[in-house]
Amino acid sequence: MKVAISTTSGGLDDKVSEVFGRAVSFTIVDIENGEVKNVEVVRNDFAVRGGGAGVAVSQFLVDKGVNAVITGNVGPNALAVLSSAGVKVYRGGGLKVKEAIEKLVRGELEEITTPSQPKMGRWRRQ
Amino acid sequence: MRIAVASGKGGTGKTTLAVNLAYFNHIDLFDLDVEEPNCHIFVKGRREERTVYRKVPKVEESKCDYCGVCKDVCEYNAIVVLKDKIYVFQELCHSCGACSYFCPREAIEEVDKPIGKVVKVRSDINLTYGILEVGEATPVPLIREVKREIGSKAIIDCPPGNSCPMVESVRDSDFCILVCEPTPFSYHDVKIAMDVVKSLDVKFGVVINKYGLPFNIEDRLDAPILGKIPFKKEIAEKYSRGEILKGYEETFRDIYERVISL
Repeated sequence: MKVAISTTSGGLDDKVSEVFGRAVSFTIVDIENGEVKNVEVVRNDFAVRGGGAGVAVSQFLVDKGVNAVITGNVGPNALAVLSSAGVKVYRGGGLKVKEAIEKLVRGELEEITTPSQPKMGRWRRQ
Repeated sequence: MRIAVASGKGGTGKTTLAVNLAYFNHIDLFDLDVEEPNCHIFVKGRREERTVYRKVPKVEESKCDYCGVCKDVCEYNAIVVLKDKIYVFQELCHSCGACSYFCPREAIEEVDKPIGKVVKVRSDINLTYGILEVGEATPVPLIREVKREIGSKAIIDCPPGNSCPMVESVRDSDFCILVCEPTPFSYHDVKIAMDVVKSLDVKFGVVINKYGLPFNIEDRLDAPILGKIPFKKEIAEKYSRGEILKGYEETFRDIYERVISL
């Protein structure tokens, strides 16, 4: 399973960012049999776009073959794209990345099914 | 002469000045603050309106093979292509037409999306204004439509701020009146507005509204002062009732005289 986590500096010791489209980076991990295999940190170049950051990031993650996302909040457009691509979105804002992955593996993370307000992350990137 | 009325800071008196300047000098009035037009509160009469559209893509899914060319050429992330699904986010689209132009299977057609209305009101003076649909990201295309109605003599009420909508509203006028009030906030913003109109090469002057408030703005501004509107409860009351400022005819005639003499 490939999981993308919205982060700031990125990596397993960073925290899960509260925002999705405007997150500074994404930490993408491969999980096999409950173990973290690969860790990749990608800078989110879409974060500084005028509009449509969430949509662009969703397209990017879907193209990368991600199966699940862990973030704090996600907007309506991004959630629509992710859900119709079959990507599950989980709430884990503020948790340590490592901790969030462990919780996901144990099935303890809440799935996000209702979007936050649009443009929530626009002025508060983190 | 086309005279634009702008301010930087909102709430300094653009509409007060524009409406009364137009009314007491019998000039056609145009309200380009299409996100929140309010000149129509003061000019009531027979209305006619027309809808304004812009182009957005519509995908014929039976022709689409989800190749993704459209989303790659879209500068605004308005199209998402999944393995067997395509999404258009109309509110992100800037109507550039690239997706339809580059689609190798001619699966994208450009269709009209309403973005607002142009309204004309006939009264003692003529008022033309735009009103933007809720949810539209940019007012500029509608502002351009309203501007097409402007003749050689006009008073133009502009949007607040100093960004694209204000620039589009001011840029083709012959003169710009900047309305300010004696407050540090207005002083800060009107300086930016002065820089904007200077770089647009539009002649300008300043009108001080709410004159009498305890902040000396007139000595700080390096610009011709065209007139002053006093800080009076009576003016605020008339404005809030949607009335023309009868009794202050001379103030607005003098301002107009000074503009055309500059």
